Amino acid sequence: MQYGYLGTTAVRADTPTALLSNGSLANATAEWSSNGDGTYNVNVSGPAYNILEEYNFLQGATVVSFPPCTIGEPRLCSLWNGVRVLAEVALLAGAAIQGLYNVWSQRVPCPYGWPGDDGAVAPGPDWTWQGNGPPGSSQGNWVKNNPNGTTESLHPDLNHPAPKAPHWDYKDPGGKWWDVWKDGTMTPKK
Amino acid sequence: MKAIQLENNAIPLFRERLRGSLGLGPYLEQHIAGGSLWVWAPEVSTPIDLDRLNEDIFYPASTDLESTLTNALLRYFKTDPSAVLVADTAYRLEDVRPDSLQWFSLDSFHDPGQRRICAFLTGAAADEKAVEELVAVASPYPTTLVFTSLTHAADLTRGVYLDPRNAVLQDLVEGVKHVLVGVFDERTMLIWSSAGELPLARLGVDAEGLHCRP
Repeated sequence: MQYGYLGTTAVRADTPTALLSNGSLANATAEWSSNGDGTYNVNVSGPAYNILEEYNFLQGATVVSFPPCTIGEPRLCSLWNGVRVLAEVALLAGAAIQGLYNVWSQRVPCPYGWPGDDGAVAPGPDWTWQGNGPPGSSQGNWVKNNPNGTTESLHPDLNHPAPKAPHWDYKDPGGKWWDVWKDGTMTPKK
Repeated sequence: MKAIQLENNAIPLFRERLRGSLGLGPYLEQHIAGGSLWVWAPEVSTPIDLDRLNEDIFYPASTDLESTLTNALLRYFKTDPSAVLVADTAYRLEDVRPDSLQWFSLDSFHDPGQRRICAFLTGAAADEKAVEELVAVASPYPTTLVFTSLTHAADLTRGVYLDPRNAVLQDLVEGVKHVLVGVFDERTMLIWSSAGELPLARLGVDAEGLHCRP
């Protein structure tokens, strides 16, 4: 077991060697550097961290503590502000790394961008709230009915517990599920 | 994937989700008293923590719930020739809906002034494509799939309105065998079964030691 620094959140992650040997993750992870004592400094972009966590590449993540947050969501804040987090680094199979890259490469713009920071507000004029709970609650969905009979739905999950970031759940006209991130991109749900 | 039986302390969570359903689901709540409650879980899993059922970290990346669900639905039709599968949807009466599926309407349980739309499949129309279409049109928060049966499936006709006293509606409610309520972001599908075991997923798994503890 090796240890690295990812701010102040204890997580298990791929070893730097495994990540760097793949090479294809350059956009997702960067600046793995050894401290010479079995620990590493790691800078990961917010969206990349979302992917790592969503697909359990940071397996068994255990939050030790978050640094004080001054802007936005605590975890992203910690990463973007460059605050170090203690990370427990574990070996993962190369296939898993390839899987991560495959997911990362599927990131596409959400057709509706970022639907907004308030789940009680309709994502657009064509969306109606369908549910037994009040708009924005856990019981219901923003639904858009298309002329061809298909539907799309958006469900706000803006208070999702860390380490997963606030997101919207999007079900496309074909029934496929996506996570929509604040930068307006979306990734397929596992 | 394997089926793991939960202990009955999960029933309130199930009923709460069922209450949030848009169509047939709330009509069934009074029936969810006995029976047993299940989840599909990865082959290798740690003991189930009810609190974690609300989080997607419950399932590893390799989990493929969609195929498990599709296979279970198809299996249901094979084991019961009178099977009827009903999905609550977010469609309103005036909305255009795919012609490939059949629909009925009923009064909103929570708002009798409104009608809700349910999609349904009977054995004669059930194949993999139809099952996937049914799941695709199911309302996601929550998704409610009702496994029931009718002695005369022909009684349930396309586009029929089932008022609360309708005999077919009563048959659908009384014939319920399993109810699946899923909240897809969390990737958990709670499955209630009227029987003591879950015929939807007879996988011969020894779930001993994996039961949820209060």
